[in-house]
Amino acid sequence: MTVVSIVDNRTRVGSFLILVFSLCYLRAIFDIPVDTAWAEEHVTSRTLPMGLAIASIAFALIQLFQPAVKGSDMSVSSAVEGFHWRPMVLLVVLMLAYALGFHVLGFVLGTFLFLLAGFWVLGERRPLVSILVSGGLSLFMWIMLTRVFGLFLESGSLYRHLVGLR
Amino acid sequence: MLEGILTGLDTAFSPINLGMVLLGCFAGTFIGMLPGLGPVSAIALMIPITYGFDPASGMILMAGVYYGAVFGGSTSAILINAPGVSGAVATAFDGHPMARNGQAGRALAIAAYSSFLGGTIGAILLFAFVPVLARLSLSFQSADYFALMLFGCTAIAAFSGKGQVLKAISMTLLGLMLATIGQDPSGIQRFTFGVVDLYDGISFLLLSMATFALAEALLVVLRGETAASEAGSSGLSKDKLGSLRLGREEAKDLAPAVGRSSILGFFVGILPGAGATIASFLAYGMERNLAPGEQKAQFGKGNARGLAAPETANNAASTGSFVPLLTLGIPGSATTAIMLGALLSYGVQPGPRLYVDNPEIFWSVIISMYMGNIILLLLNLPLIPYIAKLLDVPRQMLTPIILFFSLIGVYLVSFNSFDLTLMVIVGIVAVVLRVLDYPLAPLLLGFILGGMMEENLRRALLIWDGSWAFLWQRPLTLTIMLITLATVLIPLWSAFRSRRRESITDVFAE
Repeated sequence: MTVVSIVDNRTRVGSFLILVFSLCYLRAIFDIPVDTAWAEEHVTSRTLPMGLAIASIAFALIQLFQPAVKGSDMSVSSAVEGFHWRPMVLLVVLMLAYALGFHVLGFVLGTFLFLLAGFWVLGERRPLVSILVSGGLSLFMWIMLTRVFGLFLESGSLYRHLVGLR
Repeated sequence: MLEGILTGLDTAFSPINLGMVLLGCFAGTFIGMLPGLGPVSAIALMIPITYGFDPASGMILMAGVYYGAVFGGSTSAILINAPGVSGAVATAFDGHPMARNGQAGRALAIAAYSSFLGGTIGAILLFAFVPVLARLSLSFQSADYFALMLFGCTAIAAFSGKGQVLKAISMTLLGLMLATIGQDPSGIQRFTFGVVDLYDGISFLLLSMATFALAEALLVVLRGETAASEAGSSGLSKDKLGSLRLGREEAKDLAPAVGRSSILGFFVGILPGAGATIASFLAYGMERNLAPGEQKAQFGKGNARGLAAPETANNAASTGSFVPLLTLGIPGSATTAIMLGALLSYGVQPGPRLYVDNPEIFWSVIISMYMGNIILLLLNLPLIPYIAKLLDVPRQMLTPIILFFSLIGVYLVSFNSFDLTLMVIVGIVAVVLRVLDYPLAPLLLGFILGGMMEENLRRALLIWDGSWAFLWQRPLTLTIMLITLATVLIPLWSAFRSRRRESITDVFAE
């Protein structure tokens, strides 16, 4: 049978995810408070979201139940064939760590560590080059942003603790 | 109008703005040359830098980046067969074979001159069309704007590739839904779930950076294109590049193709959602069909016309895509959608009023776009051998740097680390959607148009006392609505029919 199975079909998986999101969105619409002053109006804060949710659900259902064609509906497994998951996952973890640790490490140290680890994850194995590039870039950006553009950058609670600032 | 042009000239030729065009063209060329990073990512990366700028300077810088990125995309398409932008895919068809045949310099020169001429003819047409359209659209009311925004959202879906119409519509709706997060026009919080950081909604910069720059960089990693051994290399020294000059005979031979492709490209570019990619493919196809039998066989093997046509068309289309943005305030492409978002963040409302209220921005952007073309030709072309060295920078170092610039770009606007976390999450969702073959440009377009669409809908309903009759009782609104319906239904119907046919054929073949 050439008709691609429901689960392993990019369009169907995508439309299923959009359907789930749209249903959650629809549910959340009922939590939007309707201002009593606007309640009698023809258009409220719920009007457009309601229309969007219904349209999105309808289009997701059409995609979910339309006939699948092998040629145009590539399977998920073949789409992700040969993907390098490990470095991608590690980079995502690094980005999350950078975001969550920004207040602790501050801009300079956080950026230096993020770049250093990022280079290593992607296969850069020359320590001196990595340290020079990541250190140089973080310092250069810090000088540019704080001294040239006059922006405030988070110095980090770790730094403040070390130098005795509160 | 003359006064406006003079004000625009004065603004565009100020030393700071001349520097902006120059900087934009260079930065754009560098970024556009990197496979995976196109004009959208390039402009998105520039937005945080331009936040403190005067709106005219910011837009001039972005216009320069736009042209530079388009040019950079063509350069990598020709040199290493890796188009940095989708609009440069057709350029690679004949451009790369020419480079392989030892004519890289000639190919780059043809691309640069064609782009310049496409941009020149596009700019002339822009000068002619924009004021007329802007004056005409001054009579538009909220109802017409609502219909126009609906048209903008559907048009990008209608012009999506085969089998992508429904997906593009879903993405537009998703973008519109994301736009409803935060405070609504009446001050009520929607979909914030008590998270204070969401009260102002998701910033368009966060969404554009996450869906384009961040997602592209992560996809490059996923595909394993970052390994040191696979780093893109131009492998070009100045000696290997060959001559960058074009002969008179050759120029004469290419002139008709350039003329035709410019006009075709400009008008395709005006259509919301069509853009440079479709224009370049159409121009390539047109030239191939017009070529005599012997020349036709040379297409795909290094035919100069096959290179000049898409290059001219994609630059003319880039210029054309500014028409709906500047006259109606409706972006015709993901790139102009980002520019619209940037203008809004400067407190400038694009559309017919821009022409009246801010002539210095309106005209200086148009003039700077043309100056961008001149700078690309005069400075970038001779510097290509040096700029191409960027392709030799190891990708394992470039990718984390791109990720860093994307993250810090968003942080520098809000100074809120919550945005960084949200950006990573949106970036992952964008990667999933890209893997599932969902186009992301309609999502961004829907997101940017969402707020304005709701505002105009509310205003129209208030004016019409809650009646939806404005959709069919105002002739202009009705006309736009009918066009909108046609742009949705025609591709939907043909997609449904072809899918049904293919499905039946498949089953019978079994």
